[in-house]
Amino acid sequence: MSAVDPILESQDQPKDDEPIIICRDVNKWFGDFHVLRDVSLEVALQEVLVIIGPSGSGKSTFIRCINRLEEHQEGQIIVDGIELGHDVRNIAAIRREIGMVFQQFNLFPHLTVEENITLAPMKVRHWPKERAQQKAQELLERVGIPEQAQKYPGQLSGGQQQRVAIARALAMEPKIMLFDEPTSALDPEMIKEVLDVMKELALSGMTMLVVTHEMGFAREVADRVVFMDHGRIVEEGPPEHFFDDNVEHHPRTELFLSQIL
Amino acid sequence: MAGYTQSEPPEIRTIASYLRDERILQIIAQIAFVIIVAIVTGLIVGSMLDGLAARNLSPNFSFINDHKFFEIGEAPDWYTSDDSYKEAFLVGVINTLRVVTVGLVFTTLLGVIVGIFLLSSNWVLRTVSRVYVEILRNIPLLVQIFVWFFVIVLSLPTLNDSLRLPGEGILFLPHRYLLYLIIGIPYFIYARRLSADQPFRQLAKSAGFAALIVAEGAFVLIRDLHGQGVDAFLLLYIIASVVGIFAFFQGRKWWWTTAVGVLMGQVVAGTLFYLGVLPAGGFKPTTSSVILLNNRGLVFPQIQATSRFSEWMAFVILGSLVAAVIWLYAARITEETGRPIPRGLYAFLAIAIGVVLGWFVVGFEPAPSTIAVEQDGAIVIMEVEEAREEALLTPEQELELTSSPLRVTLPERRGRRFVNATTLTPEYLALLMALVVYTSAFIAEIVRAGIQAVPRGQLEAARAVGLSQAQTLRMIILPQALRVIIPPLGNQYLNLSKNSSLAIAIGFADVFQVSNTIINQSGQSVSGFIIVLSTYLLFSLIISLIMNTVNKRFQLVTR
Repeated sequence: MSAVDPILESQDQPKDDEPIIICRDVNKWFGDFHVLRDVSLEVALQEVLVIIGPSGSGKSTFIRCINRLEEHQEGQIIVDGIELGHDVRNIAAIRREIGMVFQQFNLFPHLTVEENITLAPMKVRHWPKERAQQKAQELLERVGIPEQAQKYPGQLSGGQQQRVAIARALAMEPKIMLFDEPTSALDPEMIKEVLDVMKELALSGMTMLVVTHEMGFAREVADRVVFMDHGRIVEEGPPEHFFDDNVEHHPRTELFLSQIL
Repeated sequence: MAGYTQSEPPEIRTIASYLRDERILQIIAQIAFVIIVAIVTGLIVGSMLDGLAARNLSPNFSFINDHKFFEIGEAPDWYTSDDSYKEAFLVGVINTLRVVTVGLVFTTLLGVIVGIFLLSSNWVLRTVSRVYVEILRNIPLLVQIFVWFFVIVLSLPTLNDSLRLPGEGILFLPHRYLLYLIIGIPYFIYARRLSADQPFRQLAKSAGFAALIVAEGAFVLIRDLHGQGVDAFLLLYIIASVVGIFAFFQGRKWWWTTAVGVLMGQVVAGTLFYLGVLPAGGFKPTTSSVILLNNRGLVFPQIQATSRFSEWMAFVILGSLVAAVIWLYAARITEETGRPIPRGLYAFLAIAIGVVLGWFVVGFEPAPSTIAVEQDGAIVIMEVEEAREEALLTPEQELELTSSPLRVTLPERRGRRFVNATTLTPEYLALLMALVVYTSAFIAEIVRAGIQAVPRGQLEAARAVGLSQAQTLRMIILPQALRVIIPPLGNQYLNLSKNSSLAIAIGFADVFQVSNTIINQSGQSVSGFIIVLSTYLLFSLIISLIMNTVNKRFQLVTR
């Protein structure tokens, strides 16, 4: 199975449940630069999708389109039955359902760890403060740093900050989590603590889209791996397919894998 | 570690002498520095005092109680030219404070607005504000003050041709606005009651909107066809019709409903026009000018607190207290239940109710109808109206004879000046404008830099967790931008307050100008300058203290 058009495939054999994310022929340009070219992809509920590819291949831009941090110019993106367009309400509704973790953590430096986590549930979901704080404590325990609640982000290590960022995204109880190179800004020994949290999250049944260079994570956790290059999906399939030397790959994939593995 | 063998530690050297202890050496160096500074200062001050004493000029501050004829162009009512230097100096301080406090408020507002414009995505706005900043911050302030004074303020119209606000006819209220209410209110109620049925709601919205626009068009047509002819509005009217018809055939949802609305409105307006039922004209109240601007200054109404002012203030304070309680209580409810409450609105309403209720309650008791006045050397009790006609009432008595807490009097011209008015002199206006505009250019740059200093990732993270634009600005961007903005902003505030001493160039009686005159008259240069120096130092220290306190609130906690 190489360089397959996923749309045609999935239309031929209807699934039991509707995919939670549907992208059809998504195109995007930065000025003259064509970043995304006819990207079509479906993600099922509880699926863990890992997107790999060289830098500049459009993989980050693609997942940023899914919660509309970037605007796509052509094609359709439908998340949880809502189409992403210019309607402000739709954008807000979708962002409530999607959590995002950034390469640079992007914690709010003027708020404590607990305030970082409780802010959105209180202001967007209108939870009582107590409930939000309880949730924050649960999540901090889940990511393994329950004792850091009252500290400020500047007082934490990179790995701890990224785990807080994951907790912050989870506090909104999202249906989907997007990870944009979550370990790229971390020291090697901190990468593991973040990946462990992500693995646990994947096992708990979260729908996840992960842009990463961590091939170990892809091999172990992913349900499906997508390889992107020059704004196109070049190849996709289960991890066994990607990391099996006996399978014949697209030449571009072959080159990338040989350099990274 | 491999490859290392633990050898015997070398002989440990302890401190050989206290004179080689780094800590003690530092203390000694500091003490030595203080002694040197004290000696040098002592020598300089000592020789200065000796020199002054030799010329019989020893600093002494008793001269401030001296009386000399001292006219000040811009002084409160209580000051007379026979007052002592102390009073004259106080007038200078008041004038400086008038410029500095008002200037700080306006320069901040202007600077923030221009700073935000500098980041606008609108090219025209961005470029205009960039040009504004570059011109203003590259021309010396002294030159700008002269330009404001001689070129702008002094070339304003003369007293007889004052610019007036409101001008003649500005309050003209056409009858047709009544019709807008008749269309607008039922439409508003109807549109609100519509369900979320989108197309229908869209239709109602655009129909109401179009009806209002087209009604205006019809009125203009009526007036012009009955009167002088057709003006440019007819052209707009025709264009709107063509666009509406064109959009009607486009078939897209939003365009289509708007087109239907426009056409509906045209039918209604056209019918009314044909029947000629709508009269042109309107309601035109007589207006008297409230604000006047001419080359002798800016004149606006005088607002005085009457004898009932304090009672009214009690209501206002009560309203504010209620507002504070609501504010805190609403915050607690939001915390406990998560229910969002528009507490700002409620608090504002509480204050507004206090203000309005107080005004009526205080004014409930009618003003006295008789009053004791002095007539021909005798105290007579007479009717207020009569006393007023005979001009026997003193200004203080006028303040007791009104039932409202504030007495607002419109400017009234008497010869070459205005009475019952607050007047800002050309000197004050020019200095204020120059300081405000000049400093705002720097503040704009500070605000721009502060906002840009917040990493883009913060905006993205706030969006990704679902915060709205307003929430993102208030909770994420502003607190972080203020952290960068406040320290340099404090410097600009200090600059403005110190630059106000340039008032002397255009003869505005600020603390420096007055002190300068005092020094010239009394010859007490050293004492005079000591007073001036300490006054400016005090102003600056107060501003620094406030800004440092604010700054502490925005500091980030890091490792």
